[in-house]
Amino acid sequence: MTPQFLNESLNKTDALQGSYEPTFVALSYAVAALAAFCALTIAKNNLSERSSKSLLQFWHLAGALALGTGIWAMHFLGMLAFRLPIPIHYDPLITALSFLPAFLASWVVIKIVSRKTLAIRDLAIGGVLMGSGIGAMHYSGMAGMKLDAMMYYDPATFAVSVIVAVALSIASLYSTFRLKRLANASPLAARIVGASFMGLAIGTMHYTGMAATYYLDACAPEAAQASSTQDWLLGGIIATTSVILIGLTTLAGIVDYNLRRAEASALETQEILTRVLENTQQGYVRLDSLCRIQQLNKSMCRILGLPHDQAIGKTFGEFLSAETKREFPGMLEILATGLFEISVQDAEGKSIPCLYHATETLDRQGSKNGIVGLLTDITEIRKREAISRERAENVANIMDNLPTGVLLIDENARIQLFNESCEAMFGLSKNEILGGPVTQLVASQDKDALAKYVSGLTPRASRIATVEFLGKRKDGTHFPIEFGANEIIVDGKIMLVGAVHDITVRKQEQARRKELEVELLQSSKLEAVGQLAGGIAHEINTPIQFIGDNLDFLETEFASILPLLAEMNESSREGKTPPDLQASLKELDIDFLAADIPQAITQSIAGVREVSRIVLSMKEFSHPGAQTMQPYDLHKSIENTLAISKAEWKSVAEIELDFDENAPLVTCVPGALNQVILNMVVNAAHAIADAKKPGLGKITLRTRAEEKMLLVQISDTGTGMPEAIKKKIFDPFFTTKEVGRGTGQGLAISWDIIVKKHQGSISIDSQEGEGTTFSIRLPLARKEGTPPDPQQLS
Amino acid sequence: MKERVLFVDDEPNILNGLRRMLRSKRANWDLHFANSGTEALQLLQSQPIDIVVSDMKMPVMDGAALLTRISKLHPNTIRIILSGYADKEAVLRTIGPAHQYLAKPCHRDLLFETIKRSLDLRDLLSSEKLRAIANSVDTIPTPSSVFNKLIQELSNSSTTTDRIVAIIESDLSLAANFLKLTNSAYFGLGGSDFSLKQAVQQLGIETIKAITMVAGTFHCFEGSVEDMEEISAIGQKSILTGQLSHTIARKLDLEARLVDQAYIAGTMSQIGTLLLLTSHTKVHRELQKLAHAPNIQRVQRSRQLIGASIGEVGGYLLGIWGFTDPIVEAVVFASTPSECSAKQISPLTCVHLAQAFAAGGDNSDSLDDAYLSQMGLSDRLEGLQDACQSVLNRGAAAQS
Repeated sequence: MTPQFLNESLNKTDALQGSYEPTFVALSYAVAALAAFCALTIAKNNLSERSSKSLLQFWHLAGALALGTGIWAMHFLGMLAFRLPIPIHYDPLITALSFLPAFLASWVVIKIVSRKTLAIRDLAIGGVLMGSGIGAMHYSGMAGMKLDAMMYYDPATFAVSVIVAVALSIASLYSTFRLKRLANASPLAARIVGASFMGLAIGTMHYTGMAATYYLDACAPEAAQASSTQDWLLGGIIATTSVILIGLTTLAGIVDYNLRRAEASALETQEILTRVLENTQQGYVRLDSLCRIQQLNKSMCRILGLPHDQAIGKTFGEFLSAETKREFPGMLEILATGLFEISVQDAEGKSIPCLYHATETLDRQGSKNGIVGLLTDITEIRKREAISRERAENVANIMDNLPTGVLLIDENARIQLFNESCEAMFGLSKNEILGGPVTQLVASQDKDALAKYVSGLTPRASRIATVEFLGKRKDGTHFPIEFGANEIIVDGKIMLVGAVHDITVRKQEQARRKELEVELLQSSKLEAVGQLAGGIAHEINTPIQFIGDNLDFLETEFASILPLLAEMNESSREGKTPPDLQASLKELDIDFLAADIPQAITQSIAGVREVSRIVLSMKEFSHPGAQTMQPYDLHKSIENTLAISKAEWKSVAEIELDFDENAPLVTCVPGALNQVILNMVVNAAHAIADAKKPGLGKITLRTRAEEKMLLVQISDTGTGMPEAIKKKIFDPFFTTKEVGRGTGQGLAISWDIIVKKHQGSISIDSQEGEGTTFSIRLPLARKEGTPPDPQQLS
Repeated sequence: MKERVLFVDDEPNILNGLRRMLRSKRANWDLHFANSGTEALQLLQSQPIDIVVSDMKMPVMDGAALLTRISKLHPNTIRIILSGYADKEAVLRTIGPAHQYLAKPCHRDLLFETIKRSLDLRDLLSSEKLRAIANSVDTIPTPSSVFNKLIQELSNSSTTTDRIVAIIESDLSLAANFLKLTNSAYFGLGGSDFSLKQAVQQLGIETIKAITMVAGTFHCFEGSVEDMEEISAIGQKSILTGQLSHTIARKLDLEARLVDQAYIAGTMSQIGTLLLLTSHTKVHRELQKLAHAPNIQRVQRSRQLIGASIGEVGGYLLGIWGFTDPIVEAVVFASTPSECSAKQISPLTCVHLAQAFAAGGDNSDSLDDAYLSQMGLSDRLEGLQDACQSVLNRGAAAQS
């Protein structure tokens, strides 16, 4: 019997009135929703994973079967809930066939739901296909009904039923995708919401379709039958079967999913392990019980220098170096486990130092069946170790070859390090001295001082001045050393690192320098005389010039007088008439001669005296006998000095002498003192010359007796000097004079002579532009009989 | 008219001694004495003085300062130092202003001779103006390029005497200045005729350095490029003439002293030309036009223009600088040997020949045939010229 649409000829009011059994209605909705839930669960669980295509296909079909069954079961539960006054029967074939559109619609749903994203177009197509599939199932199921009445469909309501099915399908599909946010928080809740929509779509379509159905032309309208026991049974069977089927399918899906998840995670672990082994720098090897290589990684291939395939099956022992074999005999045979330092010989015979960590492998019965070994190439580490060892050796080497003695002293004043320079210096070997007390390095009289120095250093900060000690060699001989130490921390302990210098040479040099100083004093005096030589020559040349001229004159004039004298002599002897004396004398210019000849003689004598005086002054000035302390007349010193230095001051200054006639003698080394006076006079002359004042300047030499001293002042009217220069003038080699005019030693030596050698004092008073006065104070002569101190000079 | 001589010394006894010693000369010389530089200048202002003999070391104004003033104020006065000072530095300061240096004690004869000679030299240059110029040329200017080269070489610690000599030799004025030092009593070397090399050796590099560095010893000449080139050419010609003169003297078997003098005279033969170039450029140019004319023509023209021949100018300069008579004579008469009264083979003969040979080409105009035949050399000319050829060739090779 084929249902038809209502037409004008039929009267709806004639239709049979049906009713619904609420329990079945509820059940039908429940089954539909359950099926939807099942479908979504399967789709989500299986389809998001990476699965094979055939497996996907299988699960799509399984899901479609579950959902299709649900739709189909819902329909028939809905039908069972429906009561008509006439009996209802079903055509088994059509009923069975009506499952097909349900299944197809479900398949579409699963396909769509399993997608990751959903385009609007797919949503629309999916919704239409699902809706129409549900509709098709419903109406083909209706077609399988066997009634004693004609079935008619109201076209409007029919259309509404299909539209409702499509709309709700779209809504349910949409919701499963749109509720992603919810899905992330709670996948189950999302699925329940989606499944509810889908169940609603299926159920509502069904009941709308039912509303469009009218049953006319009933042959014998009867009173509505109550549901029979048979209906209950049938409904129960359908519902139960569906639920079991759906439930089993879902369960299978879940189980399968979890199984595959476990499998995937195992695979992942495996993969990570493989990647680690492949990428690690450590060599990995698995050996069987006969120590044959079963498995090895890339790094192991690299270490062994063999390609993977060639290495497999080789005995691991082949790769061990002879040395390792000697060191660990039978290590492999007994499948030794633990950490070993071995060396591996690669294909080229090169020995590679490695760290080998072996762990046994067990078979199922728990007995040892092989080894897994990890091999770490420690070539680089060894290299670095070698470098640091070399560095340490270098440092030790540097220590040993330092030209300075270096030693390390611990907090108990015991020697912990003793370099080769120390060994050479003290004649002690390291073995003899290490651990011994540091005080054994010095002479007995210095032991305490050294101990004190060393202990005093410990609590204090570093950088303590060096100290001189008398060192003691192994053979007992002594030598001067200089020792200095600083705190350092060695291995967490405060120690002293000390430097020792053998200062024998320096000491000798100091002694020699002292001698040199004396020599320098002597030579500077000679130099002073040398510098004066030119001037002295001038002072001698000048009188010699006029003495010579005068003698020339006398010679000439005497030659002209002599004939007259001879004539007079002759005439007086022979009684002849004397010559015209008056005329002769006039010719000779007797007035001139009478005046000039005596003058010429007088001046020449004076000239000779002057020369003698200069020569005498020179002699006295630099008399070698005057090198010891003796009472000395300083006025004489000043006069001598002025005589020999006349050329230096004559053209620039006049001399004023202001002597204290009662001045007593002073005790001094005359030669040294002459030098000081000369130096002062020459400096004064230079200062006056430099001042370039008009006319002659003045040099004043003044002496005054004081209580215990004799004051000697030398003043000039020269340039004077500023404060800055005043402070420096007694420094050795300080000079403001141009090169060639002085060595810069003069005042330094003067200071040395006056202050150091004579216990006198020297001070300076100077006004820039006005002049300078040097004041020298010398101790007066000791009482007669006091022997001169010969040590004073040395 | 008596010649006026002024002695300056701060030591009265020196002046007294001189006055007495020179009493015998009172007939010839008008003697004056001053006790200080100031007094000397006052005296010079009141009357002209021909020669000043001054002490070096004097208070207030020393000898060098005094002579410098006199050189400026009274250029006609010849200036001599008479000093007992042996300090090198003081001596160096007098090189510029003093014509000659005498050391105390100075023997009467040397003093007389020096004064007399200087006075006699004035006969060579009758023109007071020319004398003034020659007198006031402290030193003839040296081109700065040569001067700098010398300073550079002297600063070089690894320099050698030969290198210094080569530089000094290349400039006539430098050479003249150094010879002046060694041929005078400046360093106690007076009286000998030193060649330049000997002079450099005698002085020593340190002294040469000191002389060169002392400001005012040498004057740098800054002139046009042409002037510089000309000075350089004069230098070249001087070297050549000296070498030729030396060769000729050897060839003529002169005694060693004369050979040395011939060499120096040859080297110095161009000094008059150099003085004219640097002081009378116009006259010099005028005379250059006659460079290839016969000697006598050039001499006449020169006398016409400045009242003296170039040889006389040069000779005067060397004379007041204390060069010995044979050298002065050779330079004075180099172009006109017949005018010289001395009639035997001398350095003059050598310089005369050397100058002619150095000019090259046809030298018949440059040779004084009468003089040469008088010397009996007419036949030997060819041989002498041949002997000189190698020197000329060497010079030419060095030139190219």
